[in-house]
Amino acid sequence: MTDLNPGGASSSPHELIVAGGSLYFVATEPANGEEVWRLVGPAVAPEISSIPRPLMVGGSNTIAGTNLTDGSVVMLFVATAAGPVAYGPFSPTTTSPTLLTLAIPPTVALGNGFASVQVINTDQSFTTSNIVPSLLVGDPFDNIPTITHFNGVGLAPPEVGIGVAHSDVVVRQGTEVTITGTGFNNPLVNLFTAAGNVGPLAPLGGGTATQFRVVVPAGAPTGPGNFQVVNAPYDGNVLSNAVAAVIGARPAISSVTVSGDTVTVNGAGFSSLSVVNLFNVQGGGVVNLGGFGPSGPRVPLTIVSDSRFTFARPLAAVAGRAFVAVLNPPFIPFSSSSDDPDGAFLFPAPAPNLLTMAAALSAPAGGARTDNVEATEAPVADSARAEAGAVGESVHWTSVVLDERERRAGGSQWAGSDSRSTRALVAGDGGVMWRAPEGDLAVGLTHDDRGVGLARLQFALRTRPRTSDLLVYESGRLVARVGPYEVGDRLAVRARAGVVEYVRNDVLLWTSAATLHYPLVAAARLISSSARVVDARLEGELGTVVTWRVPDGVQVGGMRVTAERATTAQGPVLGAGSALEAGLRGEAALGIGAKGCDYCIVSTPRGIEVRAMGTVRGRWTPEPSARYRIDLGAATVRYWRGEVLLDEVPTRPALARYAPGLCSPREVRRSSARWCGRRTGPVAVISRATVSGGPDADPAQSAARSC
Amino acid sequence: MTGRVVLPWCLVAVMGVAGSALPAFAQFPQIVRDVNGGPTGSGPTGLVVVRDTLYFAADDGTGRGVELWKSNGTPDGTVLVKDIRPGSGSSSPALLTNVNGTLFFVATDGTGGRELWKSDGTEAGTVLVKDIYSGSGSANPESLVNVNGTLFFRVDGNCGEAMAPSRARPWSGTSTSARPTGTPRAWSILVVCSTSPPPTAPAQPLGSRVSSCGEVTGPGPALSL
Repeated sequence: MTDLNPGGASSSPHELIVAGGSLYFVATEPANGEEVWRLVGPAVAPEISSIPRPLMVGGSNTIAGTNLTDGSVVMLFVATAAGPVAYGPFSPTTTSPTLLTLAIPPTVALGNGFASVQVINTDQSFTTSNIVPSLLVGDPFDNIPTITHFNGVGLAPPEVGIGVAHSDVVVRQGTEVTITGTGFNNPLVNLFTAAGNVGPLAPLGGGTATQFRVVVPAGAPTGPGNFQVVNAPYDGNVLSNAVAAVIGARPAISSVTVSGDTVTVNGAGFSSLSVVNLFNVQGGGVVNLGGFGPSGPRVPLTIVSDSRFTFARPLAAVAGRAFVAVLNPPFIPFSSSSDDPDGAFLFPAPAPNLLTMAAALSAPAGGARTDNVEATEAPVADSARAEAGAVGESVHWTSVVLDERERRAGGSQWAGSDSRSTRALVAGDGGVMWRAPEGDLAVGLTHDDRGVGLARLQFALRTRPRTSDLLVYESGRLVARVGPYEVGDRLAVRARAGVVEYVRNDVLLWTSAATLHYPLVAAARLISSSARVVDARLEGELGTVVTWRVPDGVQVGGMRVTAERATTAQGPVLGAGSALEAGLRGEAALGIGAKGCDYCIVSTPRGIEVRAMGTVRGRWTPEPSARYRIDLGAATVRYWRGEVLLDEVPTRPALARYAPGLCSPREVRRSSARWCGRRTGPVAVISRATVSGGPDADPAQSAARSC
Repeated sequence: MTGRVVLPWCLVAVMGVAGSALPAFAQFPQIVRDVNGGPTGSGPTGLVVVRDTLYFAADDGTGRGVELWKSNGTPDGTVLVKDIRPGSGSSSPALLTNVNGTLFFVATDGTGGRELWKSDGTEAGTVLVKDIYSGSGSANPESLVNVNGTLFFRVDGNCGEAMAPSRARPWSGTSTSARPTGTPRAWSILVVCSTSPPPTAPAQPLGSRVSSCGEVTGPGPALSL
C-alpha cells in the first residue's frame, strides 16, 4: 500500500488493531521514529478555483478552492529563462475549507513575470491540486519594481495562456521607450537580446516611481528582447519582471525560394533565436517537420541577416506543397502569420531513389556477401527512423546481398541479388510502390525475408523485359501472369483490408489468396544485371525493423542494434522500481530473465502473450499502436499495455535485480538476469524502447552485468 | 540575474497539468501523532481498543517515562491519560486488556509495585484496582484474559494475603461510572494464584491445573474451575 520507510529499511508495522472502523498500527520511519499510525482516506485532493491575478510577491494573496485542509501548503512555480523555479512549500497564514491566504515572501524573484500556483494537501497523502497560472508582480514597499506597460501598452497575456509576460509593442533601435510600472527606485534597465545584455540602460531625465524613459541602443539586434528594471541599490531582490518585447521588427516572410536541397526565406525580423514551423503536405494531410523536438529545433536555420535565412531540406520532406512560418521567442505572440501566403512554396521532386547493383557486379570474384553495393540515397538519419504515422516515405534499402549461389559459381556468373527495406509496414493498409524499370526484377512485400531468391518474397510483382509482361510471384511460386507493362508504369504491392493486392497504374491486377502477417518489409530481387529499383516508396503505418544482421549497427530508439543484440547504453544494474517499455510488433519478445526471457511480453502471429517462467498466462489481440511495459517490483512483475494492467506475477527471489539492455537469448543465458529483447520470428519490430528506474545499490551486482 | 529570452519548453513546464482531471485516491497511512517529537519514536506498545478509543503505553520524551496514552485517531485527540508514576520513572503500563468496556492493565506507581490498574480514559478514573501485595512488593499480574466479562490473571507465587476472603471483596467494582442503574456489572475479576500456566480460553480444562485462590465477581456468567 505504502512504503512508509523507503529504501531497504523496514517500517515493521505491528500491533495492527481496528478502532472506530480505522486500522491502527505501530510503525517506524526516519522522520518520527516508532509511532502509532492510522489508515485513513480516501485522500482528498484540493482544487483551486481562483487566484489573484496578478499574484503579488511580498503581499498577501487569497486562493479560493475546495478541499483545502489544515495540511494544505502552496507551491509557486516562477517562469525564468532557465525554466520554472519552484518556491515553497508555503504554509498559508489562514486556511478554511474553501479559502487560504498565501503570503509570498519578498525574496521570491519575479523571473519572467509569470507563475503558477499549486496546493498540496500534506495531510491527505500529499494530494495535489490543479495548477493555476497568473502574472506576477512585486510589492513596491519591498523595493521590488514591476513593469506593467511599454509605450502605454499593457502586458499580455490577459488570458494567461502564455507562460511569460510580454508586450506586443515594437520598439525600434535608437528610439525612446516609455516604461510604466510600480516601485521604480533610481532604476537601471537590462535589455537581454540575442546578443546578450545590451544594457544597463540609464533612464532619461524626468522619471518617477511609476514611469521613465530609456533609449533602445542602436546596435541592439533585431528580434526578441527582454526588458528588466533594476532598483537601487542594485543588489538583492530588486529585479523587476523580465518582459519580452519586439526589437526592430516582427518576424514576417516576403518570399521563399528552393534551390536543390536549400530553402531560402526572405523577410524581416529574423533572429538567431528564431525557429520555424515547416508544414508539408504528405499523404493527404499536413505534417509539421519543424518546431521543437526533444533536443531543440527540428530544422536548424542559418541566419544570413535579419531579413534572410536558409535551411536544408529535411529528409522527411516530400515533393509538393509546403509552408514555413517563423517564430521568435516567446513564440506564440511573436510569429509570422500562420496563413501568410508568402510563406508557401513547393518542395520539388527529389532525385530518383535508386537501388542498383552496378557495384556488386564489379565486386571481386567469389565475394559471397558484399556490403558495398551502391545505394544512391543518403544514409537514413536517426530522426527518420523514429516511428512514423500513416504516411509514406522513400524506401531505404539495406545493403544488397549477392546470392549465395554466386559463391558456388565462383563469382563467374550472375545469379541475382537481394535487398529489403529498413522500415516495415506494421499494421493496416499500405504497401510498396515503384516505377517499372528496364531490367528484370521483382519487388514486393514479405513477412519472412530469410533466404535468397524469389522464394524470399511472399508477395511480389516481377517485371520481365524479355516478354514485357508482369508476373505475380508468391513465396517463389508463379501464381499469375497479369498482363503487359511499360517502363515507367506505377506498380504497387499493397495490403488492403487484410489481403494483398497487385496494382499497375492504380488498376487492380490480382488479389492474393494467401494470408498476410504483419509486419511486412519491402523486398527486392534483382534478377538481371541491369536491374534498378526506381522511386520506391513505402506507405502506411511504418515501424523500424530490429535487424540483427546489420554489421555496423543502426540506432533504434536509442538502442544499438548489432548482428547479435540490441542494447541500451551501459549503465548500472537496475533494481526494483525499474521498467522496460517499448512498442512491440511482429515476432519479438521483451522481458527479463536469467535463462531466456522468464517474464516476457511476446508478440506472435497469434496475438500478444504474457508469459511467466515458460507458461502462457494470457493472450490479447494485438494493438499496433500500443506501448507495452514491464515493471519490476520488489516481489512481483507487472505487465502493462498502456495503462491497462495485463497481469501480475510474483518473482523468484533470485531475480531481485536486472541489468538494462536488450540482449540476444544466447547472452541472456550466459549472464544473469537482465532486461532482454529478442527476435522470435523473421521480422521483429521493437520501437522506442526505454529502460527506466533507479540504479541498484549493490555494486557487486552492477559489476557483474555487461551486455 | 534573469537573463536570456525564455524558450518555449519553460512554458510547457510552468503550465504543467492545468485543467487535468483529478485522480481518485485510495486509503493511505497517516501518523496519528508524533508523540515523541522528532526522529526518536515514542515506542508505542500494548495497543488495545476500548469503546472505540485506542489505548497504548508510550514515552513522549519529556522525561515522564512510559505512561498510559489514549487516542481518538487525531493529533489533538491523542493525549496522556495519566502520569501514573510521577517524575522521570515509568509506570510502564502493560498487558492492556479490554474487559467489557473497561481498560485493565498492569503498572506501577513507584510505591506499590506492579499491580492491577484500571482506567475509564480519564485521569481521575485511572486507578489502582487493588494493591494485591501491599507495600512495595509486586503482585506482577500476568496473562490477563477476559473470559465473558471475567478478568482472569495470574500473580506470582502463592496468593498470600490476596487469598484471605476478607480481602477479596474490595476487588469487586462496577464497570463504569456511567453504567445505567439496574444493569448488571459488566465485568468481574478472578485471580488465579499459581505458578501453573493460566487459563487462556474458556474451553480449556482448567480445574486440574490451576487453583482458585480468590474471586470477586458481579452477577456475570458463572465459571467453574
